[in-house]
Amino acid sequence: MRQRKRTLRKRYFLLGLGGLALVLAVSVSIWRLQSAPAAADAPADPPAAETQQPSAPAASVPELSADSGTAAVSPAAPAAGTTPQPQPAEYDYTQPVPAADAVDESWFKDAIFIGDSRTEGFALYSGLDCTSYTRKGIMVDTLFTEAAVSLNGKKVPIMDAVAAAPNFKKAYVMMGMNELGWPYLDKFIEKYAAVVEALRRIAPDAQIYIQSILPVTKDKSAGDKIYNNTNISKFNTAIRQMAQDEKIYYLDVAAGLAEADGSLPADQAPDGVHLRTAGCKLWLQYLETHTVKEEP
Amino acid sequence: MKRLACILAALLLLLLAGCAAHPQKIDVQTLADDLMNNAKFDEKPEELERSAISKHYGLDDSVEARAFTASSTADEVCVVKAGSEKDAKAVYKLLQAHLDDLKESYANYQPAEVTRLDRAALRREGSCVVLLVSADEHPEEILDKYIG
Repeated sequence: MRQRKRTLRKRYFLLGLGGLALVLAVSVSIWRLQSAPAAADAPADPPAAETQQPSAPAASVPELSADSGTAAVSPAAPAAGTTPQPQPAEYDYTQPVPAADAVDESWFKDAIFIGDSRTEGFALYSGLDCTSYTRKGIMVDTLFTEAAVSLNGKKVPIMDAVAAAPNFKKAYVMMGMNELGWPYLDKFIEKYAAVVEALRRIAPDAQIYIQSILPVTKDKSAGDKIYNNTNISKFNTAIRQMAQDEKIYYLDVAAGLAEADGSLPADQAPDGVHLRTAGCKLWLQYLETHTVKEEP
Repeated sequence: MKRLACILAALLLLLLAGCAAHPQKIDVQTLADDLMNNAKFDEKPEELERSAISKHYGLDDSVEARAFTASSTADEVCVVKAGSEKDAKAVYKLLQAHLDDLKESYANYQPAEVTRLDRAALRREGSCVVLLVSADEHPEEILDKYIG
């Protein structure tokens, strides 16, 4: 009986010793795990979030920019092992704005549109909720002189109204259709450049997009000595050169909307000139896919 | 016999009067469709989205409205139902100003359209305001069929 008790005590003692050794072994393992470097020899199953050390963030996770929600690598703490972002080359103003990923309509929230009856149609039919300054028959010179839009209950010239609300960040301009009958092309360009200059004065940081004059339909072109596609093409060449000289963005909307022969599809413009809804939506689509994202 | 004829005539008059919609019963959707289907247009106007309507006429976003405009002529239909007669009077003024502005802008651009605009029908019935610019000789008569 006494012999049996002694054997039991011995067993309990050995069991206690074993337990103690086990606890010590586990503690040492945990201590080693916690003091090990985070990246290279991290365990396959990372510890739960609340146990991660704030001083050792995962190396390759990009920061999220607060305003856009798009991923962008923080320049202050470049990620180890990632390739540096290529620096954008200087913009090539000799070319029209190239195609890019489509932007959504929020891109146009800080944009203004300036133009004649065609831009008026764009504002009405494209479905874009935008700020526009338009007038039927308006021209590059009368933008400054013709009382065309209401401002505080008074009719004022378009450029005065633009100057009264200078917080825009993009200006989309399409002028030239009503000036096709002007005898001197250089006079038109001179006046157009004055519009660009005025926009720069009003909003120095705004992007300026000059749009090519849209073509007319084949029938309209064939039957009109002034409002025809040959004349429009001549004007567009001069407008493109002006955009290059002024270092502003040239949008070849005409190429985006024209048929293979360079004319406006007949079903989109009943009078050969003014676009209906389908055409205006195509126009918007072109603008949405031809933008320039400038570095801040 | 005479008495019977008088009663019949009175009944007929009452019936005819009932054909034109009562202002309270004007349905913006239906009236706009009726005008689009029964007025003559040189270019069939296309419907505007609600945000474009607000900007085009200077209307408040909360007002019930439908509008159609043409791209190459002054043809236009606009039906607005305001919250009250008082509000409708303000809407009427906005549409009148819009009409005046159109005449002014077309004067040097497409003067022929000014004639069409001069014939335009603009009417308020209770809390409803309707504008019809069409190729009809008398757009007012088109409105008579549906309101007033």
